[in-house]
Amino acid sequence: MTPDAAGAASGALARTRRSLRTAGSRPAWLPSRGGAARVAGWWRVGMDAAPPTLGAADWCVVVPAGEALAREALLHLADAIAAEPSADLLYGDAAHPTGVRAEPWSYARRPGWSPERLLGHCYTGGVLAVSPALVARAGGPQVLAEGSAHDRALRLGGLARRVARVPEVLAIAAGPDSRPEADADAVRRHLTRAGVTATVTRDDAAPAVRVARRIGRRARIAVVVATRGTTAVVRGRERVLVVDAVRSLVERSTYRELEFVVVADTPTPEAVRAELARVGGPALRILDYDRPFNFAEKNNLGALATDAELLLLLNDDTELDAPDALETMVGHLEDPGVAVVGPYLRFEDGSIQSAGHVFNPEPFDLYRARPADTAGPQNLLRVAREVSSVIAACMLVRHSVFDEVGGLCTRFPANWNDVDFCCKVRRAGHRIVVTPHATFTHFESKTRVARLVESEVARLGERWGSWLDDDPYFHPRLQRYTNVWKTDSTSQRSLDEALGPTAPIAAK
Amino acid sequence: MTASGGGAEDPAVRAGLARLVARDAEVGDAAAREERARRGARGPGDAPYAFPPNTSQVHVTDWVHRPWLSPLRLVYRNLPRPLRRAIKRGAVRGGAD
Repeated sequence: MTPDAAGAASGALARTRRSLRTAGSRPAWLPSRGGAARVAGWWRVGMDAAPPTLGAADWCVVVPAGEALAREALLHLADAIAAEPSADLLYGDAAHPTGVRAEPWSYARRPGWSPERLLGHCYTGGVLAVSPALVARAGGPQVLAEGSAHDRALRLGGLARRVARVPEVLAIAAGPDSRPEADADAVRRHLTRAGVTATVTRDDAAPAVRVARRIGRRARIAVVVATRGTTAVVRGRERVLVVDAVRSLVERSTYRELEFVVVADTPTPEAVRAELARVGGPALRILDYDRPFNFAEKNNLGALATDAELLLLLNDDTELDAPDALETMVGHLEDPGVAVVGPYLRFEDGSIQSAGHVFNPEPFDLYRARPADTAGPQNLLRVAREVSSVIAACMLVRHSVFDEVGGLCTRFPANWNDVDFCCKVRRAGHRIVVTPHATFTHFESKTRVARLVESEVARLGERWGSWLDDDPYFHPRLQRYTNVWKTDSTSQRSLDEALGPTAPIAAK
Repeated sequence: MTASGGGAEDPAVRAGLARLVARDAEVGDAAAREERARRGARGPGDAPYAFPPNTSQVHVTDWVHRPWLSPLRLVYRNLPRPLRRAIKRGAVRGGAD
């Protein structure tokens, strides 16, 4: 189905039609080895006056005019359908022509199903395989034919029972620009259908859509800060980190429903305690902790001391940047499926400290130490999106979910308690979102490299080995053991693409 | 509500911490059981978990340009186009099956 055929140039249409013929005229490739599903690529390329029908097709493959279906696309789709018979919506990767003879293609590798990211832009691309039942639920082919690719993906994604990502190239794009389209009107309509009240704004430069959900009830947030009252030189001035962390929230945050639970090691100086009490006022409580260092237990202790609905686990070496960061984060929790929200953390020099975690298979802070304006491939870093885990240096979590999964695991006293916690949260059926629209500064050393301790790796893998090896929000064809979203190639181009379109695409 | 105390030595807090630890163990054990089942399905999985070796492309496996292949490449490149396409198609199909 080529829904936008009527407005397409004849050349683009011919290209699409040719690709459909090529893909569909190779019966040796069909059906899949499993044989459980028959893919009937149904296409009507042209300007029919009559409304399209699906006929007896088992599946409908939507191919925007100008894009081409990869020759093996139907085979990959058939395999995916056989592997996941319950899926009723599938999408996959795209190849983009670069115009460079030595490396003629760049590949837009897409993550697993990420409904939050889909609000930001049409990361699924235009080529979708849809079951006829889903097409019917969405209002029929005519309804799908009327909207943009983003609109289609939102309509279908919102109604699909199960969405599957096919980690193979399904589409050949017409041009080199792999930035997904962003249709703010389609997002507005989608949110209206879903009954969500939100402010939708479009960032034309990216392009991307920002959705700020209206907060129905301003739930109380308990900010849990584990500290030992450390001082450090920050921006040329010696400061007590925890005091400044609390002060930044008290003075800058526009979210006023805050209380503070500071879990202080016994050696924390009295002067620091007094200053904390002065800055935090009646909303601040200090808990003593006189056991050997255990970050997880300190946070659990803080969580136990409050009945606030939301917990903000916060390192003492952080500082709030945007005054409305907490509103943005709380807004994501208006989605009942989301249990944990992380902001972007930045180093003192503004570069990225963490934009969520990626497991490939070692857990990495995504884009750590890369420049603040890095867009990432397909504007990855410009939109709020689901991730497998976020750093516990700043993490907003529902208190009920924190209790449900047993808090942070004290068997990880220093490292990876956040990774373990987020895996527990996901296992319980909740989603984790990271947003670029809320930022904190994390005064961590940029050169700090977490030491891998075999016993800790074994402990983490004992619970989550397969989860680490197969992060749904990563891609099996990307380079492993790196903190960027980079194709598995040694070329400079692959790194340029991983950092995103910082220069005009055509100049590459 | 500024106050000090109520730390880990408070009996009520200790009980709360123990409750969280017990719940964590319950969830963690269930996850570990599932993990063992998944690893068992792939083969013997008794060894402690370690990150798998990095199989990413760390250098270009450019076997097409190895010197011993150049005579074959010369022959292939000078074959009639339909024949070359047939060979290519066969190679791709063979790889997919």
